[in-house]
This record gives sequence, structure tokens and C-alpha cells, in this order.
Amino acid sequence: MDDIELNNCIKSYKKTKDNVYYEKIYRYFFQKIYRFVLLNISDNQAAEDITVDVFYKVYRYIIKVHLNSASFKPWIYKIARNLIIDYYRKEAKHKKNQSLEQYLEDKQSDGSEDVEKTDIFLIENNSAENRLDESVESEFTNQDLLKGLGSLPDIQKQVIILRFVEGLDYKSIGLIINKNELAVRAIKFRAISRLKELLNK
Amino acid sequence: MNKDKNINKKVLKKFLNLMDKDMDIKTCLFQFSDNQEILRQYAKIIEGFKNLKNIRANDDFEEKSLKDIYLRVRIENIEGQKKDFKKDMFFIRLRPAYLKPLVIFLGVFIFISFSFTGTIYASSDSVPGELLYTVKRTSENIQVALTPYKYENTIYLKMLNSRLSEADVILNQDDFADTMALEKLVTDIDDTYESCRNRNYLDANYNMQMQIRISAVKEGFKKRYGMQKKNTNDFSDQTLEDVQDTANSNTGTQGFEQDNSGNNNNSEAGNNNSSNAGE
Repeated sequence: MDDIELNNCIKSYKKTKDNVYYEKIYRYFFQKIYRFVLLNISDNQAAEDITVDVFYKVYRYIIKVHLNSASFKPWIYKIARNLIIDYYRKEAKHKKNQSLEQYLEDKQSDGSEDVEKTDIFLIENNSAENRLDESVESEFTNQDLLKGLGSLPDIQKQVIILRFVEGLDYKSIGLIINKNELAVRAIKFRAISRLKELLNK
Repeated sequence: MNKDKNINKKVLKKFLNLMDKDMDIKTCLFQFSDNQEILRQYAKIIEGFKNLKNIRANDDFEEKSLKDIYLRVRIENIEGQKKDFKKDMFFIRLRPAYLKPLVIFLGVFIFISFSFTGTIYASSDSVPGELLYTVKRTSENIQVALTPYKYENTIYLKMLNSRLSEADVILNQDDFADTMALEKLVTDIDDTYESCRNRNYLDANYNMQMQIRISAVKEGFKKRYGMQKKNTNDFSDQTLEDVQDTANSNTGTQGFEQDNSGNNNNSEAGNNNSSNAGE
């Protein structure tokens, strides 16, 4: 689905309230949002719940909000991000006085388990589909990358996922995380540098 | 060492910017021949993340969650309708759309009522020639119009007393110069007295007191302003003592004898008045 088609779907849905258009949008974004949530929280069950919540909110508010194809992507990712933050808060409360950072550190110590969980959903790439050419063939496994990603601060993790996994532009990422474009670039730079250090260890 | 690190930082930024432009990795690395090995590692990390795009949820879950969403929306709509119904029942069609103008109207109404009441209260001490006097007279007229006939006597007597009090206030003022207002006041006094007398609101005693007061007022006005206004109830030609004597002799309350030795005209006028008062 390209931007024009997405725009038409949003307009048509607002006009007719026909679920056919909503389903088109849903199917286009479902895997993306699920992936974004899963990479952020590394808990399959919670990721499924949050993904359903995201699309429920989209269904509820898409008519009320003025959106086009350019603003729709940041909007839907922002909903997902807010629900992820809510999830962290709930988890932090659940773990009583444990801070979010401590909680993440705990997660990191159990990282191998989480990575295994996440890795179940990775589909093995065929060599024909692999975009890496020989000279830069990845020496880091998906597990390594997920482990490294899990050890990054939240904001850096989100920027890396949104930029390299989801392929969003810096402006959209800025709208999602409430930062300007330059700040997003700086966060990305710091995140990449840190990841390199972590993975080399 | 630091210098190397700085150079690497700049180079890294440049390299990452080229990667952002979706340039081929080989071409990118070719431009940084000195740092190729380090930059290759960065490229591997970035490309590794791109592989994470293959994370997918089960197709079953995708379908199931869509059905869940529709179900939730349906349940919420039903609950919403129930809530709306309860709300309607509670407020009995008093929806917020009507509530706002109603509150504004009530506010304005209360404000006007308070202002109006305050103005009427303030006007109670006003005298002819003042701005608030019109308000006082209007409020009296409204009072008369709204009071049942049975209870009108109190209002009329109050009005007559009020007029006479105003005249007293004017007489006590040294600088009152509005003769037009004075003439109007005298006419009003006469008219109110006439109305009271015609409706039998004045008993003999009270009638006499009123006559004395009216003639005193008129005498005062005559002395000060030289007013020449005359009508049927004009007591200004009589002296205060004449009026008193005539009234007493006609009603017989004081046991004085009728004194005809004075001015005939005056006694006739007195007789007229006292006979009217006797009614």
C-alpha cells in the first residue's frame, strides 16, 4: 500500500465508515505495529495485547482526528509507544518500588530467555532473500542484536527500531518521540555507537 | 588517541548519513578507505537490524484480533447507549446544549433583578427633580397596578405620606430651584389626596391631619416660591389655623364652635372639604 492508497483508505473510511477500508489499514499496519511492540517489550503475550489495543484505539479515534497518509504513520506508532509506556508503568508498579531502569536491568540479566522467546517469531532468511552482500555479511546474529537492543535506554531503542527496522524518516520519528529531527539523529548516533561497543564485547 | 576518536566520530557521522540515503554499502565503504574495517562493523549492525523486519505475528492472531476489536467496539457501543439512556432519564432532556444558554439567561436575569431592586431601594429617598425620582414614581405605579383593590388603601396612603415627606424635604433644602418639579409635586399631592378621599381611605381624624399638612406645605411653597397654583383642593388661600378650625368644627371632634366671622370664601372652602372628609 503506497501513500496515496493509504490516504484514500483513510478518507473513504471517514466518509463511509465502511469496515472494508479499516481492514485495509489494519492489514497494512498490523505486522509493523506488532513487530515494533514486540521488539520494545520482548514479551509475546503482552505484545499481542498491546497490538490489539492499538488497533482498537485506531478504530475508535480515526474519525475524530484529522489525518493524512503522512501524519497517520507517526500517529499510529505514537499510540503504540504510549501503550508501551503504560505497560512499563504497570510492570514497574507490579514490581513495587523497583524503578524502570532496575526492571530493565533485570530483564537484561534474563536477556537470553527473552531473546529466545522473540527469536521464535523470526523466519529464517533464504540466501536469495538476504540483502547482505558477501563483503558485509552480518557476523552478528539476531540474538546478539536483540540482546544489544535490550540493553539500550528506551528512547535509543525506539529510535533504532523506528529508523532501521520500520524505516521511518527522521521527521516522523521526531513526531513519535516528541523530539526534533536533529535530536533524533543525535540519539541514533549515540545508540549505534553504544551498540557497537556492546556487540564487540 | 583523542584526536583519532574525534576523527572517527566525524567519519562515522558522515558514513551514517550516506547509509541513510540508501546508498550501496560497498560504495559507502569505498569512500572511507582508511576506516573501512571499523565502518564495516557499523554497516553490519544496521543491516542486521533490517533483517528484524522478518518478525511476524501468526496470521491466525491477525484475524482473531480483528474480530476481537469489532466485538469490543460492539460491546462498548451497547454500554454507551445504556449510559446515554440513563443520562437522559436523569436530566430529563436537559442536555448540555440547552444548559449553557439557560445558565447564561439565569445569570443575566439575576443580575438585572438585583440591579433593579437596588435602584428602586436607592430611589426611595429621592425628591422631585432628581434622576431616580422617575424610578420611584414608576415603581409606585407598578405597585398600585399589582396590588388587589382590597389592599390599595395602604398604598395610596403611603403615597400621600411620601409626597408630603418629599415636600418637607424640599422645604428644608435651601437651594432647591426646580419650580416645574414643585408644581408637579403640588398637583401630585392634590391628585393623591383626591383619590384617597374619593375612595374613603381617610377617616375624619386622618383627613384633618392631611389637610393640615397639605396646607402647611402649600403655605411653605407660597412663602418661598410665590406659587399661585389653584384647584379644588387648594388650601393655600387658607391659613393653617383656618383649616384646623374648620375641620374641627365640622367633625365636632374637638368641640369647637363654627367660626363664620372670618373670610366667607375661606369658610366655604373649609365646609366643602370637611363635608367631603365626612364621607
